[in-house]
Amino acid sequence: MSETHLRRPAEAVFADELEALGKIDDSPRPANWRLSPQAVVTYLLGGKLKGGGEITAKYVGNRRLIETAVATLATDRALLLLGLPGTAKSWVSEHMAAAISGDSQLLIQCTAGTDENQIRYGWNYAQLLAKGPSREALVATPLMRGMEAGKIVRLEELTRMGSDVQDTLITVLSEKTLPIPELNTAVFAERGFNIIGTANNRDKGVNELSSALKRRFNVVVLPLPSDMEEEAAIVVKRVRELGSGLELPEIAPADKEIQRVVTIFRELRDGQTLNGKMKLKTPSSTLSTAEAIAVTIGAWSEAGHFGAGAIDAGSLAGNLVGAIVKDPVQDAIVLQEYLETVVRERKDWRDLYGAIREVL
Amino acid sequence: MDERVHLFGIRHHGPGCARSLQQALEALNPEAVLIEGPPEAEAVIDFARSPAMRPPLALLVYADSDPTLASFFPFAEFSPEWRALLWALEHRRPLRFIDLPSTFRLAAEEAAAKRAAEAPPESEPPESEEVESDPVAEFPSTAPASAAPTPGPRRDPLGYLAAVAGYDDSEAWWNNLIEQGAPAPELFTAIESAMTALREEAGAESEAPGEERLWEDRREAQMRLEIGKALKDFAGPIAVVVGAWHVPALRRKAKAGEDRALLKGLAKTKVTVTWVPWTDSRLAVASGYGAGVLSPGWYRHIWAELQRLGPSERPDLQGLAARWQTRVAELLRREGQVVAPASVIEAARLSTSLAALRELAVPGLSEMQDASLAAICFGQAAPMKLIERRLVIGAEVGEIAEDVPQIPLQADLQRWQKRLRLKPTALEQEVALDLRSQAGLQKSALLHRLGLIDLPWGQFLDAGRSRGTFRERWQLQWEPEFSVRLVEAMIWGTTIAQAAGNAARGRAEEAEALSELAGLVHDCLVADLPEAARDCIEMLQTSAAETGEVTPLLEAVPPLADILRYGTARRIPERELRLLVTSLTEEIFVGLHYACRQLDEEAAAAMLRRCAAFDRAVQLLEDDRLQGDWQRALGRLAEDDPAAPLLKGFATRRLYDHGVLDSAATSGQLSRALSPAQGAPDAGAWLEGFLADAGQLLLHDRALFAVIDDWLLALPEEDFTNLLPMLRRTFGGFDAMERRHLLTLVREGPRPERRVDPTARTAAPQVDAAFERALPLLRTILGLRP
Repeated sequence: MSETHLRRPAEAVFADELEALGKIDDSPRPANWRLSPQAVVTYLLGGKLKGGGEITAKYVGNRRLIETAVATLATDRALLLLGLPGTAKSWVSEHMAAAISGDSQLLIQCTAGTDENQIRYGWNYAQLLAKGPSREALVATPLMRGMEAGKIVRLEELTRMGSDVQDTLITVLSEKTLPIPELNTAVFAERGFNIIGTANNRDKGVNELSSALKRRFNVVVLPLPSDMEEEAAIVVKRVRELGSGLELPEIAPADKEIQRVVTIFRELRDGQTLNGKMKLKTPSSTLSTAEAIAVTIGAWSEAGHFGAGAIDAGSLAGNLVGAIVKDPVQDAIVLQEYLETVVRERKDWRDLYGAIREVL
Repeated sequence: MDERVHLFGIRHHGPGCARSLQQALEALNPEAVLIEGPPEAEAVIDFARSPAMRPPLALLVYADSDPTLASFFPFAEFSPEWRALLWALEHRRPLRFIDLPSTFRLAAEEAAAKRAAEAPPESEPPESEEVESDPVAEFPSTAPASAAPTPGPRRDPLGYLAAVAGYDDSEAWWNNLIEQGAPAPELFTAIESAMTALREEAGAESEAPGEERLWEDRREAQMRLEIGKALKDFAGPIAVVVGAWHVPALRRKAKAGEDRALLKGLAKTKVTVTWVPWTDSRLAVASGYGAGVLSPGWYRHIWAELQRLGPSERPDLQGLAARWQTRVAELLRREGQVVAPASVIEAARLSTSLAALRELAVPGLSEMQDASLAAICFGQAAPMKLIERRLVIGAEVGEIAEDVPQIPLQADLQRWQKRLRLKPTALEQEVALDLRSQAGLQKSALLHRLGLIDLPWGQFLDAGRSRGTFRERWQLQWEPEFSVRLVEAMIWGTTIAQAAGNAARGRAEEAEALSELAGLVHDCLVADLPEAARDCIEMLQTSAAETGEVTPLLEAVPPLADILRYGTARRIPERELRLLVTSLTEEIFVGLHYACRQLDEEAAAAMLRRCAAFDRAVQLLEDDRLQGDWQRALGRLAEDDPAAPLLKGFATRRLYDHGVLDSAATSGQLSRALSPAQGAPDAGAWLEGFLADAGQLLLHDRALFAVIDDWLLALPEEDFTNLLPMLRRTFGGFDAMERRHLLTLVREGPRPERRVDPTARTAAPQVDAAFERALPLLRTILGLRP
């Protein structure tokens, strides 16, 4: 693939690392795997190589989750990565496919419009009319090609396609065969074939995974950043990048305010205060890290254009309430309770307490 | 060291160690077995023979002067010490406990407690509950404390070793190496050389561990002396079973004279020793037990797996994983989750594959947990949380033989009975307690505490609320089976206070209703257990945040407000309580008018009672901001169209009482609510809510009286008949005097310009014939006998 492409696939970008890992990797490899499971984990989480050289971390987070995911693929069970928007599901699946099969491009993007032909196989109608049903008239999908080649197939946003279409996968997953009744034959999966699905468990407009299909997956939930510092650092960095990209007016650094935003988001999301002393209700809003970034950008814009030139409680309050209160009844209760029991008790949060109460 | 001595360094409660030890004992066939444990316990060792003794059990040694000063020595069925003990009993070999006698340590603690009590002469001597506040103090287990949570080779030898071996999870490392593997005779040699290296490392640590270090030296001196003594007493080989940490120190040559000097002059106190039932949760390190294990449940599983094997067989990985995952599935199914057998198979496969990926010989608990999560629970942590306690910690409770002396709780109770001059008698006996006196308060606390451990010696008759809260009446009657209850309560603690506090916590964990939790908070406070109360408050707060219902909150607040307002005779954690009440009430304010919708007559009446009690509670709290929020919530309720009219009437009335609505605004509300368009049943219900306990208001507020009067007169015949029961009920709630005065007022007619004082009895005025005819009915409505 050429350098002029806007984005190159993982196996191309990290070809050097994959090669270096492959050279020193002496643990047993499952059939048709380019690397051993241990090396795949190292590729994803980064680390130093025995013979010098370093692997960059592709995923920052819980090691146990990645190990579970790789071990799942090694047991020939399909893997489903579940998580909120922006938790690196597709990113992890692309890199896993690249590390295991050396090819992350066997990809089916599932949408509400995806039908069975795009999952199993389609027909080349000119051939079909000319010669009748035959292997030549068959148009292979990425799934079929992956089965034949013994590679990892990625299904992005699995739950966005209709439940009836999802169930096409059941036979493939449990019997590792793809029947072609029209030709009285079937495609038998080569060793090394497996499926990584990704799905979003909190969005609107997704279909429930049928329990029959769900049972055929091992599910790994990728979480939001695990601690306050990590998340605050991500927000600070992204806000700075986005802000300068949007050419917002220069303002005083807002790291302290970002701390407060992330604290509020984390506490409401987790349903308890950071010190774990008090249980809280959680609102219906996702309150993802991405939204924390949006709130801060909004406050920046407000402070830069209309305010005192620095993000303060006043400019935050409106944006915060907008992000938290998605359901005017239930979420208002949640925020109100949070305000009275937590915000009010924090001495240096008085300004925020007043500002939010005003907005409510 | 004499080669007849065989030192077995073990990890307390390690199943792998236990199995290896068992086999080593069989092979060695020692003439005597020496175990790290208090020598006092030798008196009760024979009880362990009885098949009725089912671990987990603990040896308990406590000071006679104060049962809170106690040491526990817990044993699980998979504890190496327990296996060694059983082996010795079975083979009829002499068994000795060679640790430092507990009496020394307890005497030192006793002296320290005395010093602490004398130091601040002002403060009241803390009740025994003080000890309970500190989870570590609850288990002042002197012996098995070789693995404490702080790092460094001294305090966390395993963590240190694992770190050296390049593992960040010491538990996984040790389990994989020692507890889950095949037994090997060289195991103990390996452990010993590791510990020797470690102790050299620890010796180089500059920080002086002080007092604790001194105790450790004393214990090891005692053990050395005891081993020397045993060598003289027995001719054959001797097995010594001690914590691995101590082995190098016992191996070291030391002069007997120096050892004796270390032990000289230690104070003693009179102690009693017995067996008590123990629980899995208190074997766990999470309970604060220093030598506890992370997961008694997992170790029990390992032990069961090891029992299946022949002498030197390696554990069967697939079976081990499959049986564990089957247990996970079973527990989940008991919680109502659907678990397919296929998922169990996949979880077992995944756990072994994970172990291979992590380069472990045998999958450990974390492999099992990760696999259950991914393959059985579809990545959702919540179902695992449901069963985590039972799975990981375990729910086993030990049993002890009936003839084991049951002393500590009994002794504590007798101490209190003597001190408070309350004699247990089989005859009913009524006592009145004055809570303003120290003795009264303590008696009340004792009886409430006994109630918490389900020992209803005293029946609480009434709090005498009308006479203030300082008086309590109890009926005392002792039943013989109460002694059995005391035995059952032993799992909660060794003193009444400790047991009551822990029992309350235990019950709070299982409580489902908020009001039940609020009741427990109340019980703890009246039983003078502020620490337990604080924990219950925390749990109450947690469940309050989880509930979306206003009704249970409405019920939970009044008892708490009562405590905040009147509970001053006792120590209460006021800040926590106030914060809790604030958060509960705020939640009520927001949801109140939703909770008042779509209620049938009966439900509305119940809600009215709750709201009235809650209103009184808010008044008790005397918090202006809360008061303001409450008034706003009432305002919303009064104006909320779909809300039950009974409650809207109530809200309007309270707004009037609190002075938010003046009488003009109130009559406006009233006439709007009672206007014909509302329909008679709704209007009647509204009026009932409005006039609940409001005779005086009507008597004095002529404008209101006039509005109601006009409304009644304008009612169509049929509606009036429909409403009669409702009116009868409303007015029937007034007291007799009020009704009489109302009747007088009705006779007068609604003529404000005459300004007759309605409360004065007037001479019979002129009445028209129609009124006379209606009078019997009116009397019936007002509930006055003709």
